[in-house]
Amino acid sequence: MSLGLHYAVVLPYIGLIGLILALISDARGDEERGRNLLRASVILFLVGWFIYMIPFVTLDYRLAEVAKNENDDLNLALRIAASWSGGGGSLYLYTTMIALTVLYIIRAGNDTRKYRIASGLTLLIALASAILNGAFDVLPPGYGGFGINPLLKSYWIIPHPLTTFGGYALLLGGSLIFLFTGDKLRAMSVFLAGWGLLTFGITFGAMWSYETLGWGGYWGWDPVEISELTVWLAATGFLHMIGPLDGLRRSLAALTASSALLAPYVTRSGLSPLHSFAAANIGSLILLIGAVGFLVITGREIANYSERLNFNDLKRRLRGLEVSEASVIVAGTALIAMAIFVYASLAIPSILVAAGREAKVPTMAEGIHFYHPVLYTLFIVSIIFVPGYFLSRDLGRKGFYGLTLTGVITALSVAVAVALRRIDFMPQAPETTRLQAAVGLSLSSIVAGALTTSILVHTLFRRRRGLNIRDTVLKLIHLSMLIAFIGILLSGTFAFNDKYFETYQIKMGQTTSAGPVELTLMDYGFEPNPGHTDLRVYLENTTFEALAIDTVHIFYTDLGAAMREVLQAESIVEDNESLKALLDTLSQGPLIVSVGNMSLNTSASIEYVQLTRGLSRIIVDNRTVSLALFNVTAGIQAQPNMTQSGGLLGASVEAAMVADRLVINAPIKWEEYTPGFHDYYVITLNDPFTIEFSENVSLRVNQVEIYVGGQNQTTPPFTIKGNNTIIIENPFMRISKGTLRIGDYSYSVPFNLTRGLYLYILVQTGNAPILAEALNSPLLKAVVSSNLQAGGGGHGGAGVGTLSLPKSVPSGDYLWIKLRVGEDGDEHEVIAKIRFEANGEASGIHGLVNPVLLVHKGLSDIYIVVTQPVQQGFFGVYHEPLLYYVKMLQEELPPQKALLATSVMAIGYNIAEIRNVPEQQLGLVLEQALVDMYLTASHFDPNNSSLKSEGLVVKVKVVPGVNLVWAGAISMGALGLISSAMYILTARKTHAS
Amino acid sequence: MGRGRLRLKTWKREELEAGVVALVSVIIGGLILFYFLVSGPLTLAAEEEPDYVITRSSDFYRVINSTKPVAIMFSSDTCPVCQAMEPYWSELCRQQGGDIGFYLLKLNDDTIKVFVDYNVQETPTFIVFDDGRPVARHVGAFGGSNITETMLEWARLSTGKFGGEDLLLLKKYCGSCHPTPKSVNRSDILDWLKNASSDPMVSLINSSISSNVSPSQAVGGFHVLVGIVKNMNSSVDDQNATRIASLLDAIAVSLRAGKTGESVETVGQEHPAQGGVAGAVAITTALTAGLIASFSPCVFPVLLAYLSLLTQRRRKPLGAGAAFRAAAATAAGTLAVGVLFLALGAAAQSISRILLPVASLTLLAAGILGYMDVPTFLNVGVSTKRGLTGFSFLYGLLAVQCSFPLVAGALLLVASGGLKVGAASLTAFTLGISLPVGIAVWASQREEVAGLLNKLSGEEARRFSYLFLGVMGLVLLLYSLNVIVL
Repeated sequence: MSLGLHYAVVLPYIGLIGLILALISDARGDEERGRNLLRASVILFLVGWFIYMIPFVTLDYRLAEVAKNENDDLNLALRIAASWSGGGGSLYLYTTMIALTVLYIIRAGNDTRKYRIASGLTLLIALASAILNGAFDVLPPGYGGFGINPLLKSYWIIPHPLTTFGGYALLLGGSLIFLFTGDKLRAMSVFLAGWGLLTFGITFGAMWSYETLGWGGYWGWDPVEISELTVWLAATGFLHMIGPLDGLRRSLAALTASSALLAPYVTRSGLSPLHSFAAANIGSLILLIGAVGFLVITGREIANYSERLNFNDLKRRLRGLEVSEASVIVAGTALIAMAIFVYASLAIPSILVAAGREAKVPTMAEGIHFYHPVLYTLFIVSIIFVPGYFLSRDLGRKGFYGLTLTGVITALSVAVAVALRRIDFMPQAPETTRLQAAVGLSLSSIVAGALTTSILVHTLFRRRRGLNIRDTVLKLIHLSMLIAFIGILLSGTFAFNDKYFETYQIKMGQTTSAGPVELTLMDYGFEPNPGHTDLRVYLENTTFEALAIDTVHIFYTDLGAAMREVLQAESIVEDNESLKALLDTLSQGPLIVSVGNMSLNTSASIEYVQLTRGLSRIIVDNRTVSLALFNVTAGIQAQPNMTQSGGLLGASVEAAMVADRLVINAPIKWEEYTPGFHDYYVITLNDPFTIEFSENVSLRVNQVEIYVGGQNQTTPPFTIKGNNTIIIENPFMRISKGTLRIGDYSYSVPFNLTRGLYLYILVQTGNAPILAEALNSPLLKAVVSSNLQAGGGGHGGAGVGTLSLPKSVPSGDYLWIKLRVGEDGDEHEVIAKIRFEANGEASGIHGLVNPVLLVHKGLSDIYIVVTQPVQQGFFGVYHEPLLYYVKMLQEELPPQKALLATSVMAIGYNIAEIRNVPEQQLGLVLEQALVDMYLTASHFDPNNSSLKSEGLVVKVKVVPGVNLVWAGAISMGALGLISSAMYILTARKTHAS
Repeated sequence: MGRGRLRLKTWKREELEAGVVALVSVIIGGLILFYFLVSGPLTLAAEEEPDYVITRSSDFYRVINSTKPVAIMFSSDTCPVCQAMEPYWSELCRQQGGDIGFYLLKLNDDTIKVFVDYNVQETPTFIVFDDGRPVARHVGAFGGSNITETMLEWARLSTGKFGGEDLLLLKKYCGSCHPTPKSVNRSDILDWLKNASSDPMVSLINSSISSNVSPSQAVGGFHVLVGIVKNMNSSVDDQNATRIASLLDAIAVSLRAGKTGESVETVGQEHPAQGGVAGAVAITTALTAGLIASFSPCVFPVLLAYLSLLTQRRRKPLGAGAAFRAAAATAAGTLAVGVLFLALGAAAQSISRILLPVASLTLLAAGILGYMDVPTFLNVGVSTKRGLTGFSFLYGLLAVQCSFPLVAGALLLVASGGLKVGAASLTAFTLGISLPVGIAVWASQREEVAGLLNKLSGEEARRFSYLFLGVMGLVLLLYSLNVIVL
């Protein structure tokens, strides 16, 4: 938490003080003051919310939440949404919505002291959590906006957090009213509104997830999804605690309240791989403490209920049960079991993690194995009893049994047909999924038929008896739920699983059949995002930043040093024509000439060198020696001198000859001087000979070192004939003294070259492609030719602080791809945008967002994922939107800043590899990553995307029946809100009367 | 007088409504269920038809005129037996590359012409074509422990390609009682047929050759011939009996093909629209097909269950007029299907796929509810004239499920100008379906028959009738789901 005051946070802070005073007053028994203070503070929270939104709209980056979650890319709608989507902002919204329910009850005058204390404490928990999560943090001036998480940059950010957190808050508020006041009508109206909002929240979240690649379809058993479900199940359980189960209502209200605190804890605690946009902190722990508090109340209420329970009475009641009552008991019990099961699966790991133990909520595929068997079974049980409640008046006991029996027999028959694969039903899906879908589909179809019939009968034929609207709404809610369930059974596995994808390559201008659709790639283009981002907001003083700066330093002292030496060599060569002639000649590659056979008869000395013994002896001293060489090849090249660890010291220009055979005749006994391993002869010629390489390149040889070893293992390396002759097979002859002539210049050989000169040759010959490329880049040349910013010197040892991140970088870019989609004779054009967001790459979660195109076909969707075109670098493969972005950095920023920003992108892009690389290789890997990305980007030509040469790769699958899920779920949410409105009206009427 | 009948008068309005609500629930639920199960959004996710599935008549003619013999399964999406046989046949189709090409022909708006041309009245029908002409035909399911193997044997032998292995089989199972040829050489077989002409097996082959039919046709069908073979020797299993029957057919085919070059097929050769003798054949065939359809396993059990209810619920016997009305309503139902097919084309097929299971679900529910003494309109209406008419209409509608091609084909003929023969064969077909219904209704009202059934009357009989109806509904449901193949 940073210190400082911002106009947007004044009211909530005053409200907080008011809230504490209200609690003190009520605790001391001063009810009048307690009520007034509570009313004042909730009003302050509500009014404060609107003021809180102002900095979000005006992009006032002094407020930390604004700087963290916004940049100037966002339009008005997304700016407003940013106020309730951040870690702290969402909790302030939650506080505000709870405050709204408190105000509703105080205005109606139905508040009690207990209620005020309970809701005051709840508000305190929520607000404290918002504050500790940074809702009101203020930054020093000078910062820009980092921007929203790339995957969250979507219009779903508007409704999803609003409805989800709104739903939690209203359900919590409703439970408080129910537990601590007698105003059941208002409790129900608030509770139902919360239930409707949460249903919307879950649905919008599911839709968002469904449209986002890699989030596991619309439901992936992510902890946050599970936490939403926990609240929903507890709330739905509460709503079913009617009739004979009424006694359990209070405990379910407390459980709902507990889960409505647990859910925001899970969202903000980092338990979730998808929603971990904030790490666990004390602010979220407060929520967990609140959740545990309400869990204690739940336990106490259950204890109270069982104390009141009279078993004889219960027996009597069970015997005389009506079908409708029995149905509610069974369905309600199933719902309670589901709610408790899911609650426990979430609460236990949450508490363990908070206590510092390692625990995980089962997610994704693991979640399927953990949750599906239990939840599916219980849900099926509750479905079976839906007609029992709604139709028992129409059907009677026997009619209900008959209908249920028909349903069960049908389900079993269909299951058998599906198991034996006698009907073509989801042939690609796993066996369990097929059977679950078959049974679920059969039962829910029959139940949906029953509900439809009941609605028809009551609305069409029984109007004379008066239409019971509340009853009809309830039936419609259940019908909607069944429609959603049927949709889930049909689409779930297809939406979740990637194995149903087929991959297709779409060539430019050609129409390709991709499963059920025909796709044509029409056109494409790259566009920068309008806005900029300030990476410092997120990266300042992090190891990520330090690593990025280090990487630039490593480059500067390693490849950068090499570049400087070559540049220096270039300038030396510029002024030295003789050297230039030599290097130019060597830059054409090694000089090699085939000489044929040679024979020499000359006065010479021979030295016998035994390296292993450190001995050297003149064995022939200026006597006549005859040499015969067969099939001689001579060569000259620059040979590097390396340190033992592989570092380059420099090089020397070396000349050598090889021959098939060498015959030496000299007046010595060769047996005494046989060439062993690591022995050689040095022949110094008194009359040198000359080898012509070309018209103006020749080599005069004065002294030769003869190495015996032979490449041919099958023949002995040497033989001695007679007294004075040795025949050496395949000798290697190094010219240890000679003179190289190039045109008018001559050089003694061997000739030492500095590192720079040798690198110069390597660059010229194409043997140092990366160095050559780096030298081709004027920007990199500019970087290495100047000192690194600040700190001075910049050579070696320069640590963090000598370089600083740019204040503002382009926020990202997108590649738009125009596609023509043809499906069943219907054709239309769509633009798919592959986005790259710099802030995503800079926070280690990647900035690439693949678009998903949905072609709606009746109840089903054709789900098309557009993948990114890529380019090959020296070491890695890079997607084109990233290359376009790095090119933008190179064009827009000063060279050093551009390199540092690229360093951030390179680390973000290779984050997985960098985490696993051994310490001693890290420097090399980082440098490679940076240079490769930088150079590949500088070559990248947006007009020559691989879309032109390779085409576009798309992945296509069909998600059958998915639109039933949306239709059913949205209808459920809307009907929940309608029910709430009906209770509000009733409450008003009751109040008026 | 059973208790159930007495209760009829005391049923309250609420009770009657309960039955209706339950039945309507099941019907709406069934429509939802089977829409999603067989023709809903899931079909979009289903894989594309493989190459061996023929869906265009032009492809069919191209295929049968290929150089090697081809075996084609005439199939329809609405026919449960076809669904059961298709996986085995597809196995052969996927293994293309042998001496015989295997294909699957699907009934649709376009291929209906082929079904009519080759007089395919029931599905599945399997026909082997050699050089473009049909040389063998098999109607209905294949049996045996390895159905794919049986199909392959049948197709192979049908092209007249039999060898020493087949002869060994004949010797092994039939050799102890019947003389067998020395080898599969043509001359040896001719010798065998001449020298052993008194043997019943040989004389069957001889007589079938002279009357230009296959031995199986001569005895009244392939299944009959298989049955005869099995009866002769109890140690012959289904598989080998089928092979031997196929061999006998194949011997006749090979000899006749060598003699006259004509095909075994007689009916399929002639176009029903050509009139004259061919027309008469078509009409007779249609009448037979109608009769078969009326006793079709798709619906016949339902007729039985219904009639047992009819005798239960009757207050006074329905007259001969009722029998006539029942027959007429059945005919109308049959025609309605045909008209529906013409009007909607392919869409009718998907409706038809939902219709049968939903009807079976309704019967199942009616049976269960009736057994629990919850009255449904179906049960109440049974005894009335309207109830009878409604039931008969529905019966006509459903009975066509397995003989769909013929009705549609006949209507197509009417539509495309072959008016006389088309209309006549359609009439014959509907007559075939409706006559048994009329007769059955009439018979059930006869004192002797009704009295017989009424002896069982009482609570037990009522319950039994409903149980029977429910079980028949279940059987029909399992049948429409291809779980049981009748």
